[in-house]
Amino acid sequence: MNKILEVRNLSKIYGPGCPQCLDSTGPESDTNLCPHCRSVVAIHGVSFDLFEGEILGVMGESGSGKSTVVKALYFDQAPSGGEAIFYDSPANAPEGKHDKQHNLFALNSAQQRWLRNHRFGMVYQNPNLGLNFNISAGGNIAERLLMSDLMDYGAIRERAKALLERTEVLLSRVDDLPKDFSGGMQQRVQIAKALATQPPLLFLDEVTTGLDLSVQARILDLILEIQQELKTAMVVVTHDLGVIRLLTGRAIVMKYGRVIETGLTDQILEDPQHAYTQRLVASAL
Amino acid sequence: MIPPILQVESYGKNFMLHEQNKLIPSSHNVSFTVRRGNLTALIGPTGAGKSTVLKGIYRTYLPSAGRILYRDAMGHELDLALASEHQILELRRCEIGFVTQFLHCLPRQATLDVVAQPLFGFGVARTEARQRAAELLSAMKLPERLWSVSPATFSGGERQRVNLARGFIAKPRLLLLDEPTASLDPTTAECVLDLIEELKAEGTAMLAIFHHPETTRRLADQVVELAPPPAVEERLKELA
Repeated sequence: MNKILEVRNLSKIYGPGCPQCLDSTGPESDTNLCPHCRSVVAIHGVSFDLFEGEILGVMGESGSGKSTVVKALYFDQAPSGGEAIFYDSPANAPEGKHDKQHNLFALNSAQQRWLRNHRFGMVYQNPNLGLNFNISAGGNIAERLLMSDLMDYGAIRERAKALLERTEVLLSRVDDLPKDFSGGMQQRVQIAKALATQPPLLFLDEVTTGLDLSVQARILDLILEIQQELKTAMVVVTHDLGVIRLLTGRAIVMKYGRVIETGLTDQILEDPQHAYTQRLVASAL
Repeated sequence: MIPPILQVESYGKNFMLHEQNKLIPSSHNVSFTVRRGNLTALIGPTGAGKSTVLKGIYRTYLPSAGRILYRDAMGHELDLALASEHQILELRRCEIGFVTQFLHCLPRQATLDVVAQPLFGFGVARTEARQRAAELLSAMKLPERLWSVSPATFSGGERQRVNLARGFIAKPRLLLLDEPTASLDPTTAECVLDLIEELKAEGTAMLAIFHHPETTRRLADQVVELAPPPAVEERLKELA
């Protein structure tokens, strides 16, 4: 098994920051707000490895910084510090143009955009962020295919249809606007869009939160099927322990911006080591 | 003599409950070996930490003491207590199986696919994997009408058979069994015991906890008796 992503000491501070920020925040201090300069230490010192085809869970309550981690890696927000290396399969790097190894935060914005469009995928909790509500479901997918240099109209349309079919969106609705879709259907279109370029790395940020239980189950099922078919590596952010148990093999637990525990998912759920994780697991329904 | 597949030395497991600030001992000073084509049975009263030993080997629990030496298919020896998470995941995928009393599976998944899952993980073609799953389910007398539906609504005995079939299908090198026949009627239990014997004859090493002493007598090549761990206070005295 090969490593696909290596994250070291990722950090994101909102505000001016001061020398006391790091010592005054985190799980020990029970806050992520620095009392001295009012900066928010959203994440600090976050490190993990992700292997090809692996699903890693990032769990924690609201405000633990778990979404910030994937937003930084998907270039939605520039981190304040830290490093992330993406190991692309050499077969996929265009000749001479890109190395197979990318130091994510050292790239210029054009290079970052290229990775985002070609090699990464993201599914947000809020479909508004992942979809353009003013163009059709098929158009949303076409947009991503165009960005990844597929130019033939017929080919794009066929591919969009195949993706929507795969994610179980009714083909009769290809030309409808996503705003007229149900929440579960919007998530399916988002997943289809994220998968359009068959990225080796996919970020999922609370994708089932707020959906009906039956819809949730079908989305989770779809995600796992895709993972088995395409061997996509995924980082799954969720506060839902059920999602963690069903989808992930390993997990990291975050609190106030810091990683407090990492381990095999079944071990974290059945033999949690940290006092906070024990409380979190014990309070699950 | 061929070295054992699994050699557990002075395994111990305590749970630290931070909320109550309590240390709960569960397994204490457990040592035994498991060999290829042999079944080692763990016996002892409730609270002796039998399941805790199985979970420690599978690394669902983080061991507190001792070594768990495992010899893999390549002949390399590694301590499961210290192995990396990725090493453990790889062993779970390829070599070590665990049949627990609980079945965790995806919501909508058909029983045949639940059972065939480990083979999918090996890259076996879907039709072939499902064919093998069907053979096992019929050997365990699970009615064919249930094969295409999700086990979510199954009875305890039906679920247990699904769980067993999933554990057997990939013919792991080491199979951990936690009361595999507890909720089965005698006739079905008999079918399961036959399958265990078959698997054993094919070389799988097994570590098992059985509900009935007669099952242990019938299947076990070695029996390891566990005693409940001494209470923490006594342990401290012992150490002083």
